[in-house]
Amino acid sequence: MSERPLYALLGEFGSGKEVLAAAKAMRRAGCGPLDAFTPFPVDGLAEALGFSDCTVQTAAFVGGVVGAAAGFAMQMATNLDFPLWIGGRPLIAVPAFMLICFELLVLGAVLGAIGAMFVANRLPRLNHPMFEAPEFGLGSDRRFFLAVLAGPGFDRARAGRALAKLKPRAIIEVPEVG
Amino acid sequence: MTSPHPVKSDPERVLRLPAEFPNKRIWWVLFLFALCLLGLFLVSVAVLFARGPGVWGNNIPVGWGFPIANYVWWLGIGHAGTLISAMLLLVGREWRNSLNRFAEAMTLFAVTCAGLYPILHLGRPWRFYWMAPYPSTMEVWPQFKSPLTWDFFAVLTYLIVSVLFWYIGIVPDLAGARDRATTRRWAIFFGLGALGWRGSAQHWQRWQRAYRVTAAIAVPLVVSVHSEISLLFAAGPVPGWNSSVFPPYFVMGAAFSGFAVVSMLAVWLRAMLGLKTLVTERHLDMLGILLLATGLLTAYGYLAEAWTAAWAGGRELQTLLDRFAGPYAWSYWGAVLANFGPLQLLWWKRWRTTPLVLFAIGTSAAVGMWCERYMLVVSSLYHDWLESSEGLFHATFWDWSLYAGTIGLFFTLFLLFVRFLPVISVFEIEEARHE
Amino acid sequence: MTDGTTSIGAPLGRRDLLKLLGGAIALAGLDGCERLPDEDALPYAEMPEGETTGIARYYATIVEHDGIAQPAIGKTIDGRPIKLEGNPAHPASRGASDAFTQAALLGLYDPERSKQPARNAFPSGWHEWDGAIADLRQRNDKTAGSGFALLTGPVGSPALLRQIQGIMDRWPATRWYEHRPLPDMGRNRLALEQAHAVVAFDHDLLGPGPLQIFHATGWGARRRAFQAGDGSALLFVAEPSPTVTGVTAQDRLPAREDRMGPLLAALAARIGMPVPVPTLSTPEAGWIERAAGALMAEPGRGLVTVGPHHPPQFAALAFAIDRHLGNLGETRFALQPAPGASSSLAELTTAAQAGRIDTLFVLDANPAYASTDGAGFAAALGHIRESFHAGLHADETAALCDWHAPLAHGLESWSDGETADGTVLIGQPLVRPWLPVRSRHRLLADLIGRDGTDRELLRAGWPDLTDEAWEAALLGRPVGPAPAREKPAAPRSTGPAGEPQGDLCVIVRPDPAVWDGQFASNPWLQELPRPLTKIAWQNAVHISPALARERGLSAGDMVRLSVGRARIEGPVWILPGQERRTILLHLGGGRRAGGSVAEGAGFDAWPLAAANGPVSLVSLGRNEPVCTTQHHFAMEGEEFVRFVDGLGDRLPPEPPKANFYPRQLSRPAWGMAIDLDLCIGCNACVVACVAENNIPMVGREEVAKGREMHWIRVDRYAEGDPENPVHVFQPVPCMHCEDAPCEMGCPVNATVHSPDGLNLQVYNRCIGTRTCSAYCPYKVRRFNWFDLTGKDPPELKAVRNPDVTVRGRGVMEKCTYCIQRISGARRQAKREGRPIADGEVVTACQAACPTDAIAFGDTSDPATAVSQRKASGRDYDLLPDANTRPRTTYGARIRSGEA
Repeated sequence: MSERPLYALLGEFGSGKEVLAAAKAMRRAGCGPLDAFTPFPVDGLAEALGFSDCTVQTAAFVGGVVGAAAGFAMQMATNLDFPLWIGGRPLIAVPAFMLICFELLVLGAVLGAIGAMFVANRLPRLNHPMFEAPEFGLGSDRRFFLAVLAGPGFDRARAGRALAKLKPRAIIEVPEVG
Repeated sequence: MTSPHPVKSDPERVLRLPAEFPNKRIWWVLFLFALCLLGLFLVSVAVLFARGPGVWGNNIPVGWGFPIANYVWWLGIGHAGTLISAMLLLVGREWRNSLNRFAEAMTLFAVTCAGLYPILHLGRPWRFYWMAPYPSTMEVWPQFKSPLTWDFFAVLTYLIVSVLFWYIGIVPDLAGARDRATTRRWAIFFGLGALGWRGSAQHWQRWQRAYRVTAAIAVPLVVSVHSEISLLFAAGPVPGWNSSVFPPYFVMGAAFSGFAVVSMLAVWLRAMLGLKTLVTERHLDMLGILLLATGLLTAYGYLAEAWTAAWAGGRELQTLLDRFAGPYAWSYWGAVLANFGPLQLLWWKRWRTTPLVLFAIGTSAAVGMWCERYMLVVSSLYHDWLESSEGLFHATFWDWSLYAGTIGLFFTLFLLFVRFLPVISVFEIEEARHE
Repeated sequence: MTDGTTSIGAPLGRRDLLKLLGGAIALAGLDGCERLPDEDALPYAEMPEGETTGIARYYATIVEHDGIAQPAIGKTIDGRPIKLEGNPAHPASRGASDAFTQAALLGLYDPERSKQPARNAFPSGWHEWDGAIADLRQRNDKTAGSGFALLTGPVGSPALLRQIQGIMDRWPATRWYEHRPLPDMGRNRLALEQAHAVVAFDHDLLGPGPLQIFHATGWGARRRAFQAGDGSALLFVAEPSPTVTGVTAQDRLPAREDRMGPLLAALAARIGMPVPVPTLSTPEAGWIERAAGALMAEPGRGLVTVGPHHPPQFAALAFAIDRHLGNLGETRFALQPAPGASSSLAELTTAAQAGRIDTLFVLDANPAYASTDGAGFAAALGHIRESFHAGLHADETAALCDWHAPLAHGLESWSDGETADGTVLIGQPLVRPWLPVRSRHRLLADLIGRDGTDRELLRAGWPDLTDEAWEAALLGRPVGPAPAREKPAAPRSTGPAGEPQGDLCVIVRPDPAVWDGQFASNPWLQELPRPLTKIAWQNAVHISPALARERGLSAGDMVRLSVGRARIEGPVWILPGQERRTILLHLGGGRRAGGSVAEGAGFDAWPLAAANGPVSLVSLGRNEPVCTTQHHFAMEGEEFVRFVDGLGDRLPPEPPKANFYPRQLSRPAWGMAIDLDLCIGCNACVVACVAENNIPMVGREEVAKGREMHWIRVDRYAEGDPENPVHVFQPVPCMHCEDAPCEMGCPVNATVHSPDGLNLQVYNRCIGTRTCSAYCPYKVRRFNWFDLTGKDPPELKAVRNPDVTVRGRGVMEKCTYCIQRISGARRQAKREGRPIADGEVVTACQAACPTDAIAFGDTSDPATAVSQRKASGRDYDLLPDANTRPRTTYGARIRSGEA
């Protein structure tokens, strides 16, 4: 396992609070990109790790706008493409079109939000270095992992020291997937 | 990947349920029963496809009979899951966590049953896709001014959104179950469903945003979907349908029938799976209150409908009188009694927290709401404008068998869900406990 | 066959027999275009050049009903007759027809028609038949016909009469018996067009029957003249049970059948004839006063008539009244007496039982079922050595006879016939027989061993006719000049006078749809809702509301009704307007050998038709719902049918209704106007629509479920006192609403509006959501709940109009305003580079209507007939509060008939 390059160095903690504090400390220490792995969302953790992106909201907004616009355009276009006299009503009956516009707005927004979530998170991904580490798992609500990723600016020795200072339950080396 | 901490908290037990399922025998008995009904469903559909919709009791004037009544009934039930889950998430009611997963599953399966009906109902069901806008050889498009086309989009959107909402909600629990699995088979089973979820903080951040956005938009969606279902009726010039009170009336009725079925399922799952510590008396209490509140709102809808009909006079009043005393009066009074009679017990906390009582009231409300759907469809159509058009509808064996069959389909799916997937949102309960 | 127990179908089972016969017979000819009409028949319209398929050809012909020929034009496409219309050039039709004439087309194609000669109920062949006939001929030649009897139905064909005369000339001892199952008008005719005031005593002169077209066109002409300000059109009817005549009357008196004598006497006394005045009730006296007033106000233009089932004294008294008022020869005339004399069925029965008949030849009659003494006839056959039967079906009589031969249908044979006004028309075949059948003329010619084709036989009967006149006759013109309308002679006033009956009075009348039972195997007629009750596929024991209340009976309660020793069991139907103590039964039900269509359709009322004795009505304590297409007959305060009081009165103007949308303005803008003042509810439109538009019949169970498929229905309402309500009819086709709710409901654009204002139904786009029907305020849409057409036998496929799509399972259908006719006219006009003229498009219902109640045309042109109807001031929308801007509108009924 040591032959393969390292993916991340994990520190295991026993609660959300601990991992949050650890994340803040490690951020200050600045020995490489950070991530945390928790069985449920820990409030403030992402912010502490410096994550903030608006992909999901933006995608939802764009999806909604596109959905509604596409809905309206579709109804306009199809009615103009094959004009038919229906019940004596106008060909372009805007009030009647609004309902489908709304449904497609919802659909667009939800598909945008959830799609963006999956894409940005690069999921699904069934093989991941984390899964190779036997110590890792989301199988308990008492195990929280702070990870120093082997990315730009990663310093194995400093990271190890900084982690150890935070008194994790364990420090785990996670190698890259062979 | 066994957990190094063998302490089994209650939420953990939920994730282990599939592997260590209690009461397997009861489950099998129920499942076989559900399968029988599912078989009945398949036979009914085969007979229907082989012979045509004439196997039902539908006629002219009552061109819509059981299929549309049952469609609305199922779809109404299918509204509670999303409402509980999304609305209570947004207002931060954590007790929802014990209920939302199976309520959402119920939604999915109920909407599936509902969605089948309008297709089976068609004269030429194999042509149902003509409702979709696609460039066809006939060069003709759907008619976008029709409430049915609105419905098609609404129900399809609702189904997709419900599935996604339920699925992204269950992914973290599938990951938890994967990492708790004691055998490789279960690990692979859950692992595939978990899509590689590993609880990364960044993932969680995006997940939370997506989940909340979906929830925020699902609430108006629910309202819009059942409002549109009501337009199926309200947009037609039929006395007893053509009323502006319909959209809110339908939404309330839908929530009511949905909460009724959630209450039934909560009581049942709690007993069968031993989840008393998760689905506590407090949950039953809250469900009781929800049921009471939506029930009273539905009752208000009844009053409003009767009032507007009486005020309008003419044919509207005639239809109201037909409902009170016509050949289908049983369905009106059945709806009133079954919906609002037993409901009154829920004013007392004592009854709200008595599981069997809550179950019985839920059952009564589900039956009552079925009567209401039947009443709305049949008692309006059988006697509409011209006296000469009057004609009675009598359900046939195949009407009932298909209805029973969809109940079988629902329970088959629900029992599979109960057997193989986490029925309660474990990670959300854990999150709440940690805070 | 003399034991009288085995029937044609019994040893094999009817279906087995059909299986045996099916396919083997040249049905294949129906599918191709090989079967052209007889080469010598002349097309009515111009002959298209070459053999282009799909070109319609029209042939003048006749449809005989109880011996009276209805002038008709048959439309054939690719050699297949597909539609009958009235002959517009003939005064006894003026283009109109009735339900029976329309349905005769299906009778031609009836898959259960007899297909093969049979001996003792076993399939045989023409060779064997011919052998037996040859033996008979030899025997008759030896005995001069002694012991030989010929039994026919009512004979109206001069050619047939001549043939019968020929037989009797050759074998003078032959006896000819003519079986008339129902009382008829004999040689007397009513010229209703001239009659400004008609007083009918229990006479359903506008009702179904062989004279319906003649009478109804006359009444329609009179009523339209009245509307135009040309004299009165008054109708007074006294009758025990409502008929379409009574419903049409301005003044209807419900009266027992046995009150007709006193009422007639009272009328005679009132107009000053020396007749003892009977005691009358107040309503009776009032009615007589009004009727007498109307008659006396119209001397020479009045008419008094009595139902033909009443004793001859009554007819004589009515005749005397007419003579007193100078009406004879004006409103009432007689045809020249028919040559030859026949005897009745009763005499045949007596003669047979006395052993005076050795051999019987039954030609196109079914006395074993359709007679008041079917059992007596069956017993009489036991005394006859050999019996022959020729008929369209292997019916009850065929089952009793030794020999049975399949008869050619009237539409596939050469014949002639006397019409209602006494003129004679040639009946051309529309198609050559595809079954091994023989015509009536052929069978009689065989009897005396005469050769020649049917056409030659017919032509030989008119030796005086020039070839030009013959060709004119083939084009539908009468043979010879119209006969003089003679002043009728006074009827013989012998026989028993009408006597008061017991408490309950049972009257037995022919069924408005299946008549005396001869149409029981015709699904178009079985499924036809009877005008007054909307009952289909069965008959019922009609009682008055008062009797129902007294006995605690409700509709569908099974009762046993006995008159003397004769009894029937059937469901009760409560008929408002029926006299309190009268019980009405319809004939034509309970056929024992009527084929699969007639199976289970009602009970046989024939045994009660002439029964005497105490009447009892006993409830059987169970209920069997009666199959009807309408369940509610009260208008409940709504104005579905509107009235104006007198001539020139207008309906109050409708307040303008708010509407967001502009009207659809187009040229043409098709529309229809139905004048309820002219509609007599006769159902001709319904059957014409069935024939034109390939409407499938669904059978009793489906009709009972509310799944009948008629595109036009005739609603009937009864308003007011249930003892004597005002009955009204309202034909309801599609309204073709401009703001059609159905179009709004359809998700797939399967029902849309055409640029010329039609509400279209696109079958191949329809997916069957039935939203259109749910949203339709008029409920005129019909749904194919099953595949109603796919399994039709080849005959029923052949009867279909190729211009109209046959609908498959799961699609909606409805009235199209006969779009195929519109489009035909449009193409024709386009070819000729001109607009479509008014009257060029005639819908099937409009064409059939004997009173011209229906007008159709371009509503955007104020000069068209339909626009003028709509501008009449009596025009109104059905369900104005639905605000759908219907294109079909109605003309209010005028209560008065007085100019």
